[in-house]
Amino acid sequence: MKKKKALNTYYIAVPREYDQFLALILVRDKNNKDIVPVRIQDNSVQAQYNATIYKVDLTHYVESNQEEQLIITETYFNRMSALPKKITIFEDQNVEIYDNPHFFSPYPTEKSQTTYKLASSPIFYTEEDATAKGGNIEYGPYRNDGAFTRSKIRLHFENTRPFPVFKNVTRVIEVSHWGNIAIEDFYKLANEGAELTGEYNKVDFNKYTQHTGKNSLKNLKAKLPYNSWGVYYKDEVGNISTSRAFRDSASNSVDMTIEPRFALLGGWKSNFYIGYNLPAKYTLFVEKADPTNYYLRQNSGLIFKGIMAEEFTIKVILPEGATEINYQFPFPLNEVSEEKSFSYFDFEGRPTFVFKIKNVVDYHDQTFTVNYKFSQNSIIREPLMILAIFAAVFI
Amino acid sequence: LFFFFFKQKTAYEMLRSLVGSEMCIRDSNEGEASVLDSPFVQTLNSNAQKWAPALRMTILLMISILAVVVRVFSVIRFESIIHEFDPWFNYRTTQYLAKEGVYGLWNWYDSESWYPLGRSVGGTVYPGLMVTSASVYWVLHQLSIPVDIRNVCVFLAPVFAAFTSIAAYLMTNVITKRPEAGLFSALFVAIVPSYMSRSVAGSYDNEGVSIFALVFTFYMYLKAADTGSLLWSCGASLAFFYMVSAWGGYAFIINIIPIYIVAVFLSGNINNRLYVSYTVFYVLGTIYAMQIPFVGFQAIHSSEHMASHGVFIFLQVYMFINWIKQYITKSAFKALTRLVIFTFVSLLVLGFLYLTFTGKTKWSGRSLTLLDPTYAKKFIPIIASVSEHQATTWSSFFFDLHYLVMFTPIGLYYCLKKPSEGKLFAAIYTVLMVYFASVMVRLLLVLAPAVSIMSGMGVSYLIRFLIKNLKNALKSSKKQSSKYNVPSEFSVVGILLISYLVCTYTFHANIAGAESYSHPSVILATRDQQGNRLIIDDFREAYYWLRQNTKPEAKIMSWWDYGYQITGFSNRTVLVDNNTWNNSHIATVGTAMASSEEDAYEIAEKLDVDYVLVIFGGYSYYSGDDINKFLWMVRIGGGVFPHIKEEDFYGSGQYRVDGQASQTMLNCLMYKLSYYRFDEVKTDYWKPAGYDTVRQTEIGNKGYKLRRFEEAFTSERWIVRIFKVKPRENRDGLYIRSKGVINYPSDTATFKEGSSLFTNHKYSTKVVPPKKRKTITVSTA
Repeated sequence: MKKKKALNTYYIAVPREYDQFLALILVRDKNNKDIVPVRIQDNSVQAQYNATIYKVDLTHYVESNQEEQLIITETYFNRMSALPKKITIFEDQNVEIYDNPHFFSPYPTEKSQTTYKLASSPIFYTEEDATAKGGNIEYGPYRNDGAFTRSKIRLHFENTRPFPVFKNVTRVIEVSHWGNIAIEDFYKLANEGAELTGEYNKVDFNKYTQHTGKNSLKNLKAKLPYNSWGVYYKDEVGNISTSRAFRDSASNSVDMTIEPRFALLGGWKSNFYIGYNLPAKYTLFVEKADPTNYYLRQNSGLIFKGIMAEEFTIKVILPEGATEINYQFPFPLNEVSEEKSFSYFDFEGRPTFVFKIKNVVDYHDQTFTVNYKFSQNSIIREPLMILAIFAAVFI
Repeated sequence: LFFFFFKQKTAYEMLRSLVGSEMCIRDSNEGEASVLDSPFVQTLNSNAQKWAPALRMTILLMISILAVVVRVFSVIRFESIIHEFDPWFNYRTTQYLAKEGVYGLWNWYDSESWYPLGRSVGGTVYPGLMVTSASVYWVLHQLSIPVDIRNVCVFLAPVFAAFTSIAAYLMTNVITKRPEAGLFSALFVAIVPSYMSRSVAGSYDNEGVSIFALVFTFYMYLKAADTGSLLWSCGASLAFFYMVSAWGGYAFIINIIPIYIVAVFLSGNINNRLYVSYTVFYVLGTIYAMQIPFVGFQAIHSSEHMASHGVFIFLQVYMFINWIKQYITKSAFKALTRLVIFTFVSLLVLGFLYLTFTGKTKWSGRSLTLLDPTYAKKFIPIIASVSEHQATTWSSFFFDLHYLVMFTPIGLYYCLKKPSEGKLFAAIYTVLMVYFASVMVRLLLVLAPAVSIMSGMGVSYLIRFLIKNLKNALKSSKKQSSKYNVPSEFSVVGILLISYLVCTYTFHANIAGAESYSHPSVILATRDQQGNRLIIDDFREAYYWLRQNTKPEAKIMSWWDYGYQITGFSNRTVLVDNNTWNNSHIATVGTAMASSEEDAYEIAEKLDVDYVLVIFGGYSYYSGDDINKFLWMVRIGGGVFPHIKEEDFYGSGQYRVDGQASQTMLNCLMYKLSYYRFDEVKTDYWKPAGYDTVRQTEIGNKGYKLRRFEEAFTSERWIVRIFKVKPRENRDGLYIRSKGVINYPSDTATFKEGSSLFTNHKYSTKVVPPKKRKTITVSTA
């Protein structure tokens, strides 16, 4: 990049047809800090070049004639689709993907090269400008591309793994000043691999076979916080008895392996709940100077790594009587709303914040903070009230 | 577990001491110079007398707590889940009620069951149970206690069991005026296994609340009869109203009370108190009963109510004659009485016969089965097919009632030795229930409170008698009465023996409750080779699969046993369910299961069936599966569609699935779906492939393919198998009318009909030429 003035903005272009599948862009400059670019609305360039433009504010100014290295990570979802769309339980799943092998940018590019790392050697790939080495396919190098240069390639290859996606995740965090934080996650899980056609074939397919139903989702691994206790795994019709969890001090987490009620073949869905408790002393902090000022620190990511959630809702239920509520998230939120929830002996309702995030990936595995004022004395109000009622009834 | 035993023992020990001290109090006046006169015993007596009511209440409270805790084994060992079959409908209805309110339930037309007919739930349900739990739910929510509706449903029956024990205490108290007998009754009824079988946590069925309603109604009525008070009579009819709203078994009340009145009349003790109580109870009770939509005018014209009408009219006439008595001579009165009674009775009988034969009044199938135990077997296979409608075996009597069957005769003896109105009532109730319980296993439940009350009376009578003897022996020889001359050693042994029997009973009840009656039946538990507990969750696995991975409007065909569970767990539409109101619809499903694949396909297609669900235990030793129930499907199907014949399903004179089974059996849908590809797996290392672990034999039909159905899901242990009904193959079921076809219609009318079918792209089953059936090679075992 050669510019005349010192600059701290940089623009990224994403082909418009892929923009709807974009989960996250991260830019890392030389300060090693992740920056989330902002999408630019209503730009005539977008229509003209069929591209969506994102703007990055770098952490420092880049002088003219200086070189700056940026690492741009774009995370997409749903770009691969099964081909054929439906397979029998004996067949292996193949997928195809379309992409633009040029570096798509609003600036001219001197040299670019794209490498595709596939799960297996391809069945088909667009051969123009390509060199294939097993599962790695290199396009380019392309030299002196103009702005918004694009072409289209197609890759078709075998990928027998399941494609688990959470269509929706709702997490309810209930804060009790008696010393417990109760967390319950509700997951709507789907396996978006090639759909099953034909018979289920119990004889050939079960939990233990490797050679049939390869794209079936048999289990998932979750990492819960190290101090979590009272873990449960259930769904709308009751407890699911196929899960294991152990506290792993090496990875500082509770490792949990769950099996859905049934192995999810391509196109199948299942819902489930995972709940656990955290001792408040590890996540709920009080300000030393002001003992009514509380900070709740919680993880804003999924307990399952490597699986995307299309919608993620976090509900934080604070104790009745909490006031002056603020929150800080390390990334932008899609929607925030406030409501009241009612639990045992609540009459005015507990202040509840609902945070909605779209397209949650591993990047979102960070910490958010909710800060509120609460008088510790008011927690004995409810027990006193119960006592009073009992006294009124029996005396 | 130990905790409960401990608790029971305490309750029991305290009971014993109480009984002892009470006895002391009553008979302590006459002593002269015996141990009983010592100041210590005197103080003890007066103290005991002072504290007796408090002690009694404490014991009763502990019995109530015991009644609850002994019933939560199922939650501790499994989870808080609704059990079995019918509770799932009750649960679903309660959810609906809690959401939509009473009027919502009244107007609920449930299109998810009995497809394509649907079911008007509001008018075909006894809503007492659901209204009770929904009210509890609403009240708790008003009090800011947001409990889950499921937990309300799960724990309702145990709580009502506690109420039942209190009601039994009250009832026995009214009958005998002896609180110790009441406490024994309360203890017995709290843990009687037969009642526990229907009221463990999760067993959310009508009986759970209605046994309480039954005992409480009897208590209220006896109180009314005892006092002749209008208030108690109104109370009795209100309790009866609750009973009617909760369970069809209210018919027992509306018959036992009139029979009791007749019995009192025959013994010559009819009086104004009884007259008032019965008249008020009858009038209000009948009006109340009519308020339940499901009962409605049946309270007037069904045969179950005829006895109550008859006795009511009879009492009025009798009282009228009694009134006339004051104005006419004795001999004229006698003649008049005889005349009126004779005409009246014959009129009643004639009237009843007339109504019966003209069909104006009818017994329900279940009532007829009670009156004539062979009736259901002959005419209504659907009632006979239910295992809880079978005749009771002696072993289940003993298992469900245990030593109560020994104590009851003692109670009866006591009732007849010193008869009173209340005791007569208890005796009638017990004797009638013994008969009904012998006819149907499930009615052991109604017998349970009767024998508990009887046993309470019997045990307390025996102990009182023995203690009187003991005390008599302790008295100075002058004062000894000759009435109580049983040797002391004998009394001591007798008391110890009774204590031992009662203790044994509590142990047995505990074990029966914990081991036999605490299984949810939708979750099975077993042990693996290492002895670890293994949960078999096939039902929920498959039901949940249906819920998640079929279209919301999918229709599931299964035998009716699983209807409620499928609508409850899977939220999908079923053809038939446990509300067996439409026999011919069930017969259609039975016929489909008993037909060949092609014929079954025609039925399934006409009924819009998307999936067929069968329960198959041959892989995993689950004996309650569809193949074992299959003969009932054949019988019920054959009852409506005569081409299904039971004898066709027998091979060599036996119902079997191996190589000697009949061709009809080997090729019917149920067989083919249950055993589809089963011949490719080995269930036992030493046995051939395709060895059925339940029938203990190798299956007879192997290697067949399904043409019309496709395996959609099979649970881990094969217990639930779900098959998809395939769409018609291209041009299947149609044939082109051309000159070349042999059966080209001769006249134009038929041709037009046929061609319009053709142009409308409708499938016609009439015009299909007979298909070539694939011949199936059957290998013999």
